[in-house]
Amino acid sequence: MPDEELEKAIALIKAGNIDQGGKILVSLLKQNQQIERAWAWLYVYVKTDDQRIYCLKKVLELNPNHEKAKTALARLTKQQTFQLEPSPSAQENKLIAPKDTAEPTAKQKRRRKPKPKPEIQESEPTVEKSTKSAEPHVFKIENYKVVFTKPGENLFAKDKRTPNDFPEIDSGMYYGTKLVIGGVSITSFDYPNCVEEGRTLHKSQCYFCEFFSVSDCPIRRDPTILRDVIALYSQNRSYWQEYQERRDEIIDAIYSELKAHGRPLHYEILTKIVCDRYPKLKLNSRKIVHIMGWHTGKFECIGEGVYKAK
Amino acid sequence: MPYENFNLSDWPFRTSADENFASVWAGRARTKDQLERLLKKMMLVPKSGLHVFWANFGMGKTHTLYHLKYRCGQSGRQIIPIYAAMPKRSTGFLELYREIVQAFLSAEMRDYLGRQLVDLGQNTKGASVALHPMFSKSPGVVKSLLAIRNGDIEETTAAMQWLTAQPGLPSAAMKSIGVTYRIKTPEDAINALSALINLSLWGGKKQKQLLLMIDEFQRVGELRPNIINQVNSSLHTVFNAHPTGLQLMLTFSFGKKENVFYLLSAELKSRAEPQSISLDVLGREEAVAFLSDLLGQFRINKDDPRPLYPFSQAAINTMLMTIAQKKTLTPRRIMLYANHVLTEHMLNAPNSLDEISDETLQACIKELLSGDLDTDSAE
Repeated sequence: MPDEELEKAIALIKAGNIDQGGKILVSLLKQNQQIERAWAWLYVYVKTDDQRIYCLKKVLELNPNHEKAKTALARLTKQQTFQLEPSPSAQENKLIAPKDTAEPTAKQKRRRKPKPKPEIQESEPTVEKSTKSAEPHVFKIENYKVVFTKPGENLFAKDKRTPNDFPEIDSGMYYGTKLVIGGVSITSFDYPNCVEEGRTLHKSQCYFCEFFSVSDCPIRRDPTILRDVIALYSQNRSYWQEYQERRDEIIDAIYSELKAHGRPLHYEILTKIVCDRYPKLKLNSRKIVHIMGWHTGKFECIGEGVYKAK
Repeated sequence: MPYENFNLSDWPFRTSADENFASVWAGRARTKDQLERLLKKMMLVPKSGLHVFWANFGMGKTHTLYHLKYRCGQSGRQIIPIYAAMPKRSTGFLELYREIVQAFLSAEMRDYLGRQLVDLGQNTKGASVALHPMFSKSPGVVKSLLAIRNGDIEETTAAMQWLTAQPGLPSAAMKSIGVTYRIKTPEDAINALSALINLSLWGGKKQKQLLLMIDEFQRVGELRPNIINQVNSSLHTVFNAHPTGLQLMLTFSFGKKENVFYLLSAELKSRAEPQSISLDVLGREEAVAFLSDLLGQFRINKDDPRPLYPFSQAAINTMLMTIAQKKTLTPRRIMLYANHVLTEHMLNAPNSLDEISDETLQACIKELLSGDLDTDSAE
């Protein structure tokens, strides 16, 4: 029976169902702590490096010749020593490991959706850059879906474009972008830590990932994805920055005109004034009323369509 | 109420326009000259004119209109002034029409229009005045004016209600004054207004002029574009209907004069006189001249050699400098501060004949500037 349970747990972990498999291992080890393979596979389930080291030590106690355990223990011990001097990136990431709980977080549960036919697992993703070297930001990504949405739109809303509609990003438009890889959305504002770090992380760090499980992580499988995701997102962030600068410029223009006028104005009249005086901003009444509606700290709506500067 | 210790016949500082003080004009000699020339032009040339009058905040725009009205009154009825203010949050031309007709129905104008009707009746040699071509598009106007002329209270009330397009006038009341339709649309209002203007201008040896002053016209900027178009096109139609005798003055008050362009339709802009009237903020010297001129007009003893008494020259300089450091100099603001200082002085030293010194003024003004709500914008 314990052997069957052990095989079942290992099969579950291999299939990506780490939580369920891990729980079976814990219950087995509570009954009998002398099962070497159970300790070896528990290593995958536990969350902290200390717990992993403990598992590896237990494996080596039972089998001092376990080469893989020796190597892993050496690497983990070395890494722990290294992490005593925290790197700036580690500080920035603020990675706080869950202490004793083996339960996945709600976010993990939400995101780690086992897909019946994950696009990544079926075939290796190929990421091709555009042949135009002058436009390094234009990517052609196959096998995983690129979804472009306008800023302000819900990035997790139902996908509106297919990979065939891959957009050309022109400098006049500012898109927020998300990639849907294996059914999981990652955006330029919410992405795995490896994108932030700029490198494929150690497997042990990937256990904290809220996007993919270690076994089916497309980024681990193909580092080229990581490279391109980083490039795409850094470009997106620069677009976002440009967008924010432009938005600030628009707010300043509207506010200064309303302030100089000193009286409330209907947005249609205000649009005429702002468009005439700031033609480069290419504004229309819809944009203006939208901006004034959002920035209530600067604009006050005092009647139907009538605004004044605060 | 005289303030003899200050050598003032009345309290000179008013922070909102007072029609009783319409005769007073202080400082701003250029604007005064502009207004006088405008009135003379109106009397010289019969053609109608559309005048744009822009003023910055607190510059005395409404007082200027009252003063114009007062000056028109001195022209011996050659220029008939009508003052109306653009209603807030208007829903169409009908509301502006109501405001204008209210001014036409003031006691003085009612008498004048009644006399005009009598003269017209005598001139038509027995034919009914109601059949006169000037009332062809709006026959109800003459009937309601005749009802007002008759003096019956119920009929007068009904006629005034009908003329001002008040909703809810019973059919029986309409029947009693002999009208069969209501003023419901902008077209009805335009026709009725045209009839009133025609009657006002009728007769006389010299061409009469009707100066229709519409105050606070900047309020159209708060209206929906279709309502702005309706108001503008209605005014344009009224203006077009009177190639002679109508002087339409639209006043605007906001911080940027160039914005007038956006509140007028192309038709009105093309008809506007090239020379507009402007009241912009005062310079230091203009402010001193304004104060001394204002105080001078309330002097009991006109021979007082101290033009700024009860203020000393140094105190006025300090006051203006202090205001100018943080804000613009406008007549309203100057009067607000001068009023504060003078009332404080009256409380601290009743019946004092001394000039207000620089130190006294500084003590009064110091506490004002910290928590001052007054800003360079609309109230």
